[in-house]
Amino acid sequence: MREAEEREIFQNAVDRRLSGLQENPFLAQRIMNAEKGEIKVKKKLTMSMVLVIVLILIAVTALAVALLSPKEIVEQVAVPVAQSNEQENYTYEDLQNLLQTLNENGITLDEGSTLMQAFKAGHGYWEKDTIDEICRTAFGRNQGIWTLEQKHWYGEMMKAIGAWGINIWLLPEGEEITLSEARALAVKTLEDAYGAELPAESNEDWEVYETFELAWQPETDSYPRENAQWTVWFSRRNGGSLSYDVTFDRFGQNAVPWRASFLEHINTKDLGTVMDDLEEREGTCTQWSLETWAEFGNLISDMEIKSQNEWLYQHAGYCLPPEGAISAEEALEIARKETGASGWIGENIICCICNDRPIYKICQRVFLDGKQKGGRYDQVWCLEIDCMTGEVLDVREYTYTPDNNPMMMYVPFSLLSGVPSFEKEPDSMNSERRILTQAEKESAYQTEHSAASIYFLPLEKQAELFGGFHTVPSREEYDKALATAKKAIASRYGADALETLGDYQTGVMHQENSSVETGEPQHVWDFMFTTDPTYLSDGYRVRFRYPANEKSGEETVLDLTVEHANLGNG
Amino acid sequence: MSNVKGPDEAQNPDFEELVAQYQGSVLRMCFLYLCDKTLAEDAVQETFVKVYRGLDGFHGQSSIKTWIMKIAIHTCYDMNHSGWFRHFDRRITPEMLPEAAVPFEERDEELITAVMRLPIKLREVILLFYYQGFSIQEIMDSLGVSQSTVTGRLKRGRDKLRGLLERRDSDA
Repeated sequence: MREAEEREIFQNAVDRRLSGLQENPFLAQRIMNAEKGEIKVKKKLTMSMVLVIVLILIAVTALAVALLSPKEIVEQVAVPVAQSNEQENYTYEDLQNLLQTLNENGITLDEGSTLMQAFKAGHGYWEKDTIDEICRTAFGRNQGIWTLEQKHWYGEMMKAIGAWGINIWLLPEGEEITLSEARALAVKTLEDAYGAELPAESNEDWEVYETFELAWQPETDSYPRENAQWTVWFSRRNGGSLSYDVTFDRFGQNAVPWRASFLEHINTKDLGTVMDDLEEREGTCTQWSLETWAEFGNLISDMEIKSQNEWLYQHAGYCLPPEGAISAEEALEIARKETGASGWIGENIICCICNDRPIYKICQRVFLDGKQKGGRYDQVWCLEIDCMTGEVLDVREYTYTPDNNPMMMYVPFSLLSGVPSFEKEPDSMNSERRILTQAEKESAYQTEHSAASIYFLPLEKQAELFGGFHTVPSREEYDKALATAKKAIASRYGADALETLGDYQTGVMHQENSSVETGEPQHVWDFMFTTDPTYLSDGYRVRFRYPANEKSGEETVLDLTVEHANLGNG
Repeated sequence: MSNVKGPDEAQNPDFEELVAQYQGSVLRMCFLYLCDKTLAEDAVQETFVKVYRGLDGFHGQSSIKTWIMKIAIHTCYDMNHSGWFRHFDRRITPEMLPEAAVPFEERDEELITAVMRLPIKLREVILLFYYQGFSIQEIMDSLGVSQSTVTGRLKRGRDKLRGLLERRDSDA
């Protein structure tokens, strides 16, 4: 009896305390393949073994390494598979093969990444984001500090899988200045401008990195090489908040120096810019780790609040789980059991504070048929779980309806009812800043109001800024198109849908171009009805086109699409 | 696991299912034996390579689990005696344990580190007896030692773990 008890205690202790040892899901397959002579089974090496091997190799001679690099795996496996897919995502089997290849070559992706979570749950994953994760694992989480070659190569891979139309990340050629010349020029410019003594290459005090990239030319709606621009950054390491950057053209002309204390810089940023910076480094916010959310919370803690969303983010109290909290993986498991969601499930988890209580905020995005695809999710579940006890405090479904605030995915539910109102801040894109009044709200065509989204710039301003196909239609055309859009919303979402939306504004983009099918000229309309022009967090979007030689009207409308404006927020 | 046969019908156990069923247990045992995560992973791989190669010759003379664990313990033994091992820092501290994926108690960690600090000959007997649930006879067969050797090592190992293997009120 005593023996059985002791065994049970022993076994439980080992299984619990060593539960973090990760089994290799590909081991059997690897061994079978290896035994059949298809691959070599690679032995992992400890740091000590590596050191010994390195010493021996140095003493003897260099040895050719037969393993594939992450770049080779992307080029030889990830991209060809993506190119042969009609979908934008790898299937589970694709992903399994890819991960196996990575594993066989000694490359391990972060177990906590969204990609690996999707895989563990038996799902595939987006091709672009998968390649992205491999590259971030290989080159560093922050894309900004990748070398020019790495960035350019990454752009080529994105182009190859169709994720990018063009590769904006360039390598200098011909008469264009070289990397070393660019860095030297940046050092000189900053010394002249600020008296700064900066190194031309990264050292223990400074991190130096750069991009050489194509810039958009609004007049022609293109990215000509003549517009290529260098930016060289100098970022102080180890707690320093000082940073510099210099931009200049491809021949080193028109240098513009900039100095910023990072914290001051943050204070001058809006929330969107902070998010952009973090997303550049860590991927979209649905991929962020608990650490990144906590960092985000710190960065915006002193930000001047200008909108409801900013207020919500700032008051969410993003933090790391306190000592003694259940793990994120356990919380996710509790959430899975709670909702019982099935199919393809994308999950993200945040730790924040709700009524002085640390909670896990979990969002499950579900495709019921098990296939990951674009567009709206079939279900979006938001859960709040006590960090310490694992108790499920609240579960709500986000339903893409105007009465649902998409912020419920990212902040405690309790905050949503207490958010104060903020006066809408006009966007700085328009020098004639003016807040749209209720009376003007339906006159996007003729108003001078502005907003963060280009939809809410007057059509004249759009045409002036963007040129190309962006033109100003007649008032009559606009009114008819507006009526068509409203009718479409009423038809799909109900006659009172717009009225229910409340104090909404109407934004629109209009282009005249040629039909792909017939080559005939056509008008293309894209309307946005929302109370939140900055983030498009509510309301509706209506798109359609009709031949230019016909008047806008229901009978001639083609490709009419009506959807929620906040489609991307899920 | 339907393809995994018992000792008397073990002619064709499915290799993939064997790996799925026993990999975790082998990995944890190898870790406790070798006190190094990467070496343990190597040992697991090596173990299952041997299992794969030996499956045809396995005729159910013992249970399949006993057979696999015997291979694992011998693999660990071989690695422990290899030249590489002499280069390693062998101090055992709780910090060298991998992060746990589920909640654990403080004394779980105390027990694990105490086991890892045991002399290797005591450790292997303790692992086979307590973790793998082997009988004295199975340990004798696995290690090729006499009954008195096994029981003697088991007693000494148990003495060193005294207090850590007792059930407490919270376990009830």
